[in-house]
Amino acid sequence: MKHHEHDRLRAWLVEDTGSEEEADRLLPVVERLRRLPHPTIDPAKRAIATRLLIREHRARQAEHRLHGRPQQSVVCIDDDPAMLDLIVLVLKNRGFEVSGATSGYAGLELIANVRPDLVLLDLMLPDLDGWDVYQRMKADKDMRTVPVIIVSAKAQKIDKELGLNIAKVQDYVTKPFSPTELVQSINKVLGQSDRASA
Amino acid sequence: MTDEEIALSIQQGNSEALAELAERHYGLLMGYLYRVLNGDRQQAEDLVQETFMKVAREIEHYSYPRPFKPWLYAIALNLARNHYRNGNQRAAARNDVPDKLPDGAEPIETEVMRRGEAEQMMALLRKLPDQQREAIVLRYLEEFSQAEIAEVLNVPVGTVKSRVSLGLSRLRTLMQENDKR
Repeated sequence: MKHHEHDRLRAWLVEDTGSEEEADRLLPVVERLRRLPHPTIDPAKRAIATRLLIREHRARQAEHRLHGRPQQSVVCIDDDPAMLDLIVLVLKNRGFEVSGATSGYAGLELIANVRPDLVLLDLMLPDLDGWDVYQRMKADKDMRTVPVIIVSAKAQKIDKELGLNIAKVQDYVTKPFSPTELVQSINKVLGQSDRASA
Repeated sequence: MTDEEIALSIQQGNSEALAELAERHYGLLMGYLYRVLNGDRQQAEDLVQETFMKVAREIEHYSYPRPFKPWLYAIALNLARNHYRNGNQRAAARNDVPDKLPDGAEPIETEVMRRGEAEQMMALLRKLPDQQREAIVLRYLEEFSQAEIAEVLNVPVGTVKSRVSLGLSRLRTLMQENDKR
């Protein structure tokens, strides 16, 4: 292995492990890992695949020109009516179809009726806790695939860690947030969601 | 043009620009999916195509000027995770190690030896928890920064570090056990 490659890998390991000793211990592992061969792709296959992509994009654009861009629907559950109004206004301006509820039970009913593409969920609600709403969604066969973004003033690191790593919500936006931040999070989640392409 | 500028031009209607994105990322993404899918080459090929089809359909959800590459890999990873959640993952066959080895042509004995080593390494990677394997492959084979990995996996940078460190330590132990045999 070339000297500079060795140094570069070691620097990454120090950054990842926080320890020079640990980096030296793990360096041979990474060096062996990097000797793994790379799978090749038949250029003819890739050329066909690329033509299909271009055709798909053109078809999608033609569909949008004919029928307009399909509106994606969002349900927002927040106990603060002023916050709810603000989110509805921001998202309607960006072309989303939005409906809102100020309690957990009302929110679950709304999700069952609307079958939205995405749910924005506050954690502090007057009846059910936001996590209870989330659990009930996951236990319901029709709701479990709907992506959820937690939008909460509960800014403690533990809540965010719990949300993203344990409960596995799609994203977590902490209040106060900017409209751009919220829309970016929604677009990111909808862009990754299978439902978006269904 | 940067990836982000190309994505923006596709959003604005330039469908042909998809060819440039595919040229830049198709092969790399194939390598990534091949490794996170435990060496299932056919499945990696299917999913790389599915990922790009999703890009063609959903490019309006990309927010310029956010980095494009983590967005692309997050889509791919999501598809791969659905795939292993649905229990579709096949046991990788021994001959699933790619035909082409790096560094060009080599004497046949060396090639056979390297092939064996690659098969062993893929088998050890397969033993890691999915989350650790995903992070390690992004970091040390795809050369993503910690921040880029955090974006792809949608976790804090601290979680990326711990997944990489724990995964590499586990891989080291597995390698040592394997070498003793």
